[in-house]
Amino acid sequence: MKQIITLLIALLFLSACQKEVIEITNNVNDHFYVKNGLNSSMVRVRGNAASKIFLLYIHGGPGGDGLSYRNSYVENNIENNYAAVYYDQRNSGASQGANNLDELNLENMVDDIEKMITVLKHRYGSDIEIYMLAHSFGGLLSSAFMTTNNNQQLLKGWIYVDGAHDYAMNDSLTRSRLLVAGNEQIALGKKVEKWQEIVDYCNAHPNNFSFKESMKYNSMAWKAISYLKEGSSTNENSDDESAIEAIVEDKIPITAYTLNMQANLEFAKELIHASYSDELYKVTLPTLVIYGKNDFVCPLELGEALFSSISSTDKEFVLSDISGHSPMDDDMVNFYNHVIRFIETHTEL
Amino acid sequence: MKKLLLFITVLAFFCTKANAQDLKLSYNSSIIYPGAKIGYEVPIFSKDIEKVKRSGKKKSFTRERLLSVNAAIYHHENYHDNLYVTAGISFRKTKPGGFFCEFSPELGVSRTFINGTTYAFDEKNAMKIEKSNGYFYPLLSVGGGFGYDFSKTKDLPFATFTKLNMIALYPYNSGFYFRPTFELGISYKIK
Repeated sequence: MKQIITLLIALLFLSACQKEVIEITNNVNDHFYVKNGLNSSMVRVRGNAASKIFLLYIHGGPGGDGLSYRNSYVENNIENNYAAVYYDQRNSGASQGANNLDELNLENMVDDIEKMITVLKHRYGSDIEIYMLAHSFGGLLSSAFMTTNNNQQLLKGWIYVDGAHDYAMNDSLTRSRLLVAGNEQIALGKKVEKWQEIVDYCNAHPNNFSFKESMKYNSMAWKAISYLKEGSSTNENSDDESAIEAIVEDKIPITAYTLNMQANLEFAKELIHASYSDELYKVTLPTLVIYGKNDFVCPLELGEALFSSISSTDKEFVLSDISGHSPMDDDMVNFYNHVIRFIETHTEL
Repeated sequence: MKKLLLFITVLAFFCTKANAQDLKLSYNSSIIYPGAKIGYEVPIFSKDIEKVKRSGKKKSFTRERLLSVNAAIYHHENYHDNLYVTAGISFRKTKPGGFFCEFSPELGVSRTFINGTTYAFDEKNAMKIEKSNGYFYPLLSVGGGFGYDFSKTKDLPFATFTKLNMIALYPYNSGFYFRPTFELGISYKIK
């Protein structure tokens, strides 16, 4: 018995002394967690870490996940050249924790990103360049990040894609776009019944939106995108097989993904008046703003407002004529060409 | 959490003192992720029932209630290992030929061990690697399955069984976390 106990203690001692081995190659496949409070966020790093250029995805939602931006095109065109960082925000994707609803707020999420960047620099070198690619709700979160402390100094560039930096403005713009498009489509005799339902709702709910109304506008915006998409030919990513492969290869905990998304509804209620419009002047970082012309979820006027509010002198606005809310899917090649060009223009490596 | 652990300990103590005991061992996979489960169960109620059908045919079976304590683990690579202990009651119906079906709700405590290096920060914002990072959760498991008891016809002291369970952890992040598990195992009659 004594020998067994001695052996166990020796094994524990040995495992405690193990040094972390981090290999920096042009084909890394790493995952690690960053703990902050009662949350441990999952971070996956894939691709060419030897390039020292990191594209950090800040996903939408709240309650989305980082890996949803990964597909074969990203593997071949982004991961081959740079390292892609698929980060799951707290209470999202594969992030884990216990009883942490009280900690679910933008302030902590900003702190999470700061800590995650510290870890990235610890693992891959303090000289790495990080480009933040924020989408949808990630636009709100990244706006909070950029306007807090000196956080923007941690990054080399900001790629802002169909983001929502001002929720109240977002709802008003969604309503306006729905009304205009709805009336146009009705006049053209296209899906009249469906568009009429949307137009009637917009007329009945003109302002001071409640959470319920905000959610309704969001759901109608998605419907509007799908109505316009039917019959059009966008380059939407139809990588269904790769989605199944990803579940198996990336060991995605499907139930956690789904239930985290659901649990974020409570958090979404608190965001209804979230706005960084008055703070954006603090941003001086090189910025690329990309919007889909047919986005009703976060209309392009929202991007124009952000574009004119930031103080960056090095900024560019790109409009994708064929995209809805996700140009990285709807207009993939064009989208990533702009992303790569932006990185190549600004890298000092 | 402490009350749940006390409840499981008391039941475990009760099981070891019982006259009849079954030791259960099973492969316990969670979707495609492997695991194992070990359990101890004692019958607390048993009744032979005979029913006459409209056709006049007699139908007989045994209804049993069994208390059980269990320890289980599954390994989900890159995500977590989940070690959980439960105590529960099984409602079993066994036919004279040995086939049985059962339903068993269990209550327990889970401790996850996150799979992957975890970086944590202290109050001074200094980074460190945290060993054995994970969380405790209260756990509820509900399962149903069927099996064959060899002791009924062949006087062999074991049974085989298969079972589907749904385990729920709460509060996992800010909500529930459900996970289906599949069990395939044998149960050996110790006494």
